[in-house]
Amino acid sequence: MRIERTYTLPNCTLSVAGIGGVDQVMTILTGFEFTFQHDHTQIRGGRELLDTLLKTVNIYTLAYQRGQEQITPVSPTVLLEAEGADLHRLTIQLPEGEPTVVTLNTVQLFDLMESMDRLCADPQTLPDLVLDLPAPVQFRKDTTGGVMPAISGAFALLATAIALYTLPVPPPKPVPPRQPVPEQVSPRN
Amino acid sequence: MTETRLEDLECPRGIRMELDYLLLAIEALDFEAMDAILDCLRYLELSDQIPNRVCLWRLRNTNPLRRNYQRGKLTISQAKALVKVIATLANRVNTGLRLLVTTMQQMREGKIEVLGLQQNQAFLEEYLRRFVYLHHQRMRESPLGDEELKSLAQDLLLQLLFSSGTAGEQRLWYSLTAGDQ
Repeated sequence: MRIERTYTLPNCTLSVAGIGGVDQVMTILTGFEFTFQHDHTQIRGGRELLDTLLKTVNIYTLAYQRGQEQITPVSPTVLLEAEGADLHRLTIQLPEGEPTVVTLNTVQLFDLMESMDRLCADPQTLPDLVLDLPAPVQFRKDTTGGVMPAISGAFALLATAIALYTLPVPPPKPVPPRQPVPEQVSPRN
Repeated sequence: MTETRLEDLECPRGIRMELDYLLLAIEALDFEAMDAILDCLRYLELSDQIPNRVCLWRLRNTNPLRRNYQRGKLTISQAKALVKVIATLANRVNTGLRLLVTTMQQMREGKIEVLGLQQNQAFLEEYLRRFVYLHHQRMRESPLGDEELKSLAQDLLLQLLFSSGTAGEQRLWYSLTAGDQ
């Protein structure tokens, strides 16, 4: 069954077309189309381009949120670069044909990201497509409450004791001869 | 011996500071933000992590730059609760965030007069003025001047905009924690 879904935002529209079962869940993508309202540019392609676009926009927006402006491109097909403080240049270079270039401001970039986030969050459309953030962050568990610090401390003490035991005992220093005690002489009147 | 749960671990200093700053930016956007934050905690059923106004105040004061800095602990589960609240509130004011971020750009490009958008500029300037005021009121003496604080307020607007979408919560948590391992 042929299915079409559209995700509309103020600055861009993402339409996806595909094939699904009677449960209306689209499992195979046949094509997608982004339309940018500000300059009517369109980006069309298949699953491979959508995946690359998704990954590039994700990495770029996460870096942008953290104040970094440059990213390492995921693939030469899709490039997203900062152009000054407020503009972002998206270039799609397919092996055949001229490259498609769209210049987005920050709100338009947000809409591009959001349209893809809505697609990823939609359980009825391509359920295997999920928001893929880079490697999850692992907080290190601190050692409070564990027995390791106590054990390592005891071993360190033991090792120090053994090392010091092997050292020779220093010979006693000779006692200096006693100085004669000066006698007190009472002053003459 | 009981082992510390991952969710009970203490958040690094950078996360404590950034969460407090984002809440400060929300307060600068909305006069009744504190009530909205507390309502949101109840609505999202996060009262277990942050039960009341005093607890919220205490957690925000784990930001070391605060005048009333407390050596308390902000656990990971409490930080996640705050991230959820910030993303939800940012989503509610998404339209306003769009307007302010667009105005920031138009001001930099010098288009306000040409396009007759002085009203929008006034909204943005009011937000920046309130942020600077709240910062002076709540934070210790800062080496940052007012212009630098305004620039910080603009960065926080961008952070809020990108946290206001469908996956805002995950995106905000990621941006806070990446690099803070």
